[in-house]
Amino acid sequence: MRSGGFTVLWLIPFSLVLGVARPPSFAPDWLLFWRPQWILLALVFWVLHLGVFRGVLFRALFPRGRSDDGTLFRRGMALVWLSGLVVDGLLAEPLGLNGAIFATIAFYLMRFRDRLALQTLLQRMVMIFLMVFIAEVFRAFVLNLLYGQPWVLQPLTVALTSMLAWPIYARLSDRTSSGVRGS
Amino acid sequence: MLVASLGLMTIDGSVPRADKVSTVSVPTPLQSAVINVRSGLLTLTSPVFAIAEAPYRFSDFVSDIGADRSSLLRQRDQLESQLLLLQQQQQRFTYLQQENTRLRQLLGSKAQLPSEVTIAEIIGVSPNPQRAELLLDKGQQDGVIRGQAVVDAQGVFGQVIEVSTDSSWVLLITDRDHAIPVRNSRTGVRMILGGIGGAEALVLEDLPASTDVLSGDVIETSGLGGRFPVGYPVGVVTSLGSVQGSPYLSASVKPSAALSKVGHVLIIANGSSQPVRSKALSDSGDSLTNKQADN
Repeated sequence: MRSGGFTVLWLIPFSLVLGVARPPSFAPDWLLFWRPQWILLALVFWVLHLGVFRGVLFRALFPRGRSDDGTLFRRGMALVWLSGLVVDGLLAEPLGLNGAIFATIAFYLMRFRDRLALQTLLQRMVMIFLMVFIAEVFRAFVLNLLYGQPWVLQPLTVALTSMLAWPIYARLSDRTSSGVRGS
Repeated sequence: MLVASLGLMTIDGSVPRADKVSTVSVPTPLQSAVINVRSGLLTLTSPVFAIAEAPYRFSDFVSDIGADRSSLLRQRDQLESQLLLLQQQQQRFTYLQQENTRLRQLLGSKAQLPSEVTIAEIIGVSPNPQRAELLLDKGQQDGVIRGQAVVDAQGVFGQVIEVSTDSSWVLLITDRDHAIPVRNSRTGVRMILGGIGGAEALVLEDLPASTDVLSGDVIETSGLGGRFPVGYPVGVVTSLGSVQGSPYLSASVKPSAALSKVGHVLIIANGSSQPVRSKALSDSGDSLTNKQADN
């Protein structure tokens, strides 16, 4: 059994790579509309199975200071928001877009972390579907507003494939020694 | 955090992705700060694209190793004949260049500055299927700046919209945010060619019904606006259409550049505006010289 920190350490970069990898040239163009939101799934895994307030990066950013729950929570949220900013740079999306999405999702997951621990795999998958769908609708809204990108069914397809991809992450969580069980 | 996000999005959204056809936007201090942050983030994250591209590079490497001797010899023969053809064209080009210089001197017109091209490799594609953008492996340290034109061996590719230290994003001509001033190479009529999204097609919109455009006409850059050098082929008219009751025509144009292929492209330094022979470009492949004298 490995530690959750180790899993997150390779899972996040791996998800970033999956998030930008292009399909082979022989693959049809529409396949891109069905790409799961690997980065959001990694965030959910990170928050649920490790907590946002741990890790090397966190200690590097906040080396000292108060260690009460409220401060740690706020600093953890700041870390998630900064991660979103990095993803904005990666995906060439408006700055702050992924920060807002990540922070909102992390807030919800942290707030109800104990309750979510009781979910079955199926319930977790439905939650992932709704979460990704709302996040993608928000993304589509912002991109439409700022860049005039037309509305398509992408939020739905991405949410669907993300939901179906979640068992891979759930399987990883079963192999880690820390974090929430039950998924 | 949400307020900060909204503020950032508002500022970032106010920065145009690409400068409009004939205007060059000057960013405000706030927009400049956001552009700098984006540039820093791109520098930080561009290795992710390199890693994502690694399996394809490895596959190319393996297929290169596995290539048999006869196919390599055949390829060498093809390249030798192509080189011969290019050398012959180069001689003609040099003669034309000298003649052009003489004529310019006779007319008293100002000689144009030499233009430089930088060869860049495509290392990533925008993960958003609705945006036609590519990531190149050249950035500020190679002299790339925002707004430079990008071409390939066949024609115009797009323009640089974001630059980091060692990489840059290119907006393809097919993106719906892109428009380029062009002219019909047969008649010289000036037009604006716009992208329509992911599909490999462009459109000449709102042409007066009397415009002399035919299917098969080659569309090339007009050089107006100063963004794209004059004379580069952009595409070929494939069909013409009109809306009933409307006095305007629209024409579909197939891009000349191989936009869906992954390989090398040329970034053209700003300020170049010399005509480039379409034939010479289309025959030259990626083996164009790194610098072109410009007259």
